[in-house]
Amino acid sequence: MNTLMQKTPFLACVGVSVQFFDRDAPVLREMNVSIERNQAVLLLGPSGSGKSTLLQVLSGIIPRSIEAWFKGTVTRPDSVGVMFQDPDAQFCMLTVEDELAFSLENRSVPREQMRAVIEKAMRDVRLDIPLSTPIRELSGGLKQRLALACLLALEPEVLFVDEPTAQLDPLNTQLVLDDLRRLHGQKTLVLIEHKLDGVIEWVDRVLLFNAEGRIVADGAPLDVVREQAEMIRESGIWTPKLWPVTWEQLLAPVPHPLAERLQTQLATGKKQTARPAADAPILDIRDAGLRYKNGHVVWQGLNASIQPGEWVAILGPNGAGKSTFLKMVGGLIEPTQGNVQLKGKDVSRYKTPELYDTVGFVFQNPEHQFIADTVFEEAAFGGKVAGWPQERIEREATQLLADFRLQELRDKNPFTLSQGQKRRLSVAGMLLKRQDVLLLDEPTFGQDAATTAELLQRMQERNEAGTTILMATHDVELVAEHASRVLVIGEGGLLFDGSPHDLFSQPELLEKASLTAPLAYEYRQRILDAGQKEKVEEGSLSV
Amino acid sequence: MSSSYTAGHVHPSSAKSLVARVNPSVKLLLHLLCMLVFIFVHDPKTACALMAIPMLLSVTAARIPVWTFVKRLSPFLILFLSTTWILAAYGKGETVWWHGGIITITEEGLVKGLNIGLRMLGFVAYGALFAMTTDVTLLALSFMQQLKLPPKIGYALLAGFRFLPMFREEYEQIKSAHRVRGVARVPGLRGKLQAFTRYTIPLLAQGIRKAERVAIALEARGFDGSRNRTYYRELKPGIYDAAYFVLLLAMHTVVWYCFMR
Repeated sequence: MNTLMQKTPFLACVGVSVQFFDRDAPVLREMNVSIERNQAVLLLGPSGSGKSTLLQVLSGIIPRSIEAWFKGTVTRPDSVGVMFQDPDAQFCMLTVEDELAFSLENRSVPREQMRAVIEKAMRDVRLDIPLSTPIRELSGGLKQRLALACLLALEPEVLFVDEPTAQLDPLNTQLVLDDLRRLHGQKTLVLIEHKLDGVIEWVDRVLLFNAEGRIVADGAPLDVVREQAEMIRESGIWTPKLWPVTWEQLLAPVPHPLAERLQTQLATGKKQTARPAADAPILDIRDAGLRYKNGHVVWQGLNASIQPGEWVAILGPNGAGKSTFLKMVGGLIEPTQGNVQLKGKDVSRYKTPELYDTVGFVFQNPEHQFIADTVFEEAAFGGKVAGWPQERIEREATQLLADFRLQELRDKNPFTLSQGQKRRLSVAGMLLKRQDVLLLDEPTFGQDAATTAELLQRMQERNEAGTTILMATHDVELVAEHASRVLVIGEGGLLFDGSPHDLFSQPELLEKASLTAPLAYEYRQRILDAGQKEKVEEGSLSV
Repeated sequence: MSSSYTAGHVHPSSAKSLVARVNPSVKLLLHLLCMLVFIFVHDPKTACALMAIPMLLSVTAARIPVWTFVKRLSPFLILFLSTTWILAAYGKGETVWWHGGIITITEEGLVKGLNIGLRMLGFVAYGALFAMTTDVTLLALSFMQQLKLPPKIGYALLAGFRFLPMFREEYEQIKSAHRVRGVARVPGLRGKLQAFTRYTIPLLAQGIRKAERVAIALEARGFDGSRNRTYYRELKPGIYDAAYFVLLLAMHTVVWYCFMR
């Protein structure tokens, strides 16, 4: 057609349509994308919009590894690498060294050259661990960096990255994103990432998808985010906390609107410090410790007494034992030392039905909880077991499904729902019995902004109605906004017990716990560092 | 952590022993051959002597602590006693040694019982010796390099091995979740069956998804399952394999000379 078309593109797809065999409609329709060498491109869009499908088409996973109906042409360089979300599903060997070698063996790299390449790949991602380390002993963050090293060992021209930090704590998220940033300009990067801070500042280009799987905007990050602000908000896509505002603008003498908002947030955060009146605690954790049979101590000496109506966030690095802690509180694991008192009675002395009429538990993987064959039965299950009259079950379960926007799916099988729907159903199913205590293990994990906001709204309502909430999470913004109290678990014990405000005002402690401060607190810290005392003294920022 | 033994790895105290250095495929073949010898033995004294070979090797040439080895075999010891007892007490025979109620111990029955029991114990001893001296990674590599197993299967075995502990965790999670939700435990076989199907669906769903993800990730790293690849760790049969062969042969010759001639 014209001269532009004659040049072979570096990485491109032309007229690509994809439909999975179990779906009624195609995911991608007549998609055309062309990416230049060494460009960094971010794919942005609501869940289910086809971002991952496009990444799989461009990288060749479709149709090589995933079967689907496929049409169109794709041009790509010979050597590409793909990094995935699940740290446990990218390896097949047992040690770091063998895993790195596996990459090289696949490409028939001569044996004598392997050792040097392996050592270089480890340096590239700043992995400073012995080569003989078993992979199962690595934390999620280290596993993701090992996965990156395994790809870099192959010296790919294009690196595809599909939500690499979804399962990581804040500090490890930063480390992985930093590693990727350092590759910018040396390699072509195609990224999908929900945590935009740490990515959107440096990518060259953003492709914005709508829910129907079409690209509605393509351009520099700033232009796309400005022009499509409304669409981005409405379709529940995560937005960056700070960007495109810069720290300079925030700290400028004339306050930026965001700065004012952060000041308000800080002011409310400080007020939350006030504890509820010292009633009899609903939960009393007394000198609890857990030691496995092989001698490994998960944590010990945990003491905390929780008042009715508190919203307690459980924070800590990957692998610190947050889930285990919740399980102990919920009577699913017995501590090897100390005990947990629920309403003044040892949790281990409750009868099972009696205990779970008082305590609800939302597990990390929604599927684990599913028992019934339909969405409605799933939500109604608790009532049935408790022997409620049919008409009450019907009324309350229907109300729950409406609250969680699941009413149209009431006759579907829970296992066929989308990720977000499954999560909403698993929470709905646990709320029916209105337990006094609700334990949640990373309930917002992997959810888009819309689902997260909705879940938090429902939990907020329950909390205001008097439900005590304990929630393990990595999301510090959520903690700053909703929690009344934080327990930080790490280094085999309780590192902190207090208000979110006090925690986020202690940078050293945050680092120790693999956490980062929410934006408002980073803002405060920067003001203090810049010595803008007048702002500090003016009002809400005082230490 | 290195002091405790985990499945799929060489027992730490055995790491530098002769048996641990033998090529896994060679070791497997030799052990299978030795097990075959048991089948031709019909006399308890000889079977007992043959069974002593793997046991002796375990605590000498494999340097496995006696107590660890005994613990490993203990469940099978019970099986051995019960098998022998049942065959001895209820088996048919002419020469009656003792009679009481429905129990009749005959010489033929006892011999048969001991033969079967010792054979089983011998098999288990060779198996335990193999398991405690063999690294699963090396086993898979050796299958691919010496026995020409297609890499597609060899690496699938390794990836699957990594999954085992994950499955157990997953199972525990589901069990906990169902407990919280108040799934009534129907007693008896029907309840067991119900629980089984309830656990199986989420376990399989998750297992299949994980397996798919691993397969996709490995293919994306250039793995195509073909034999067209190099190996970082090249395993070659060598002096240790020969030594182990000679050792086993010598021990069997002694047994043959003393009992079977």
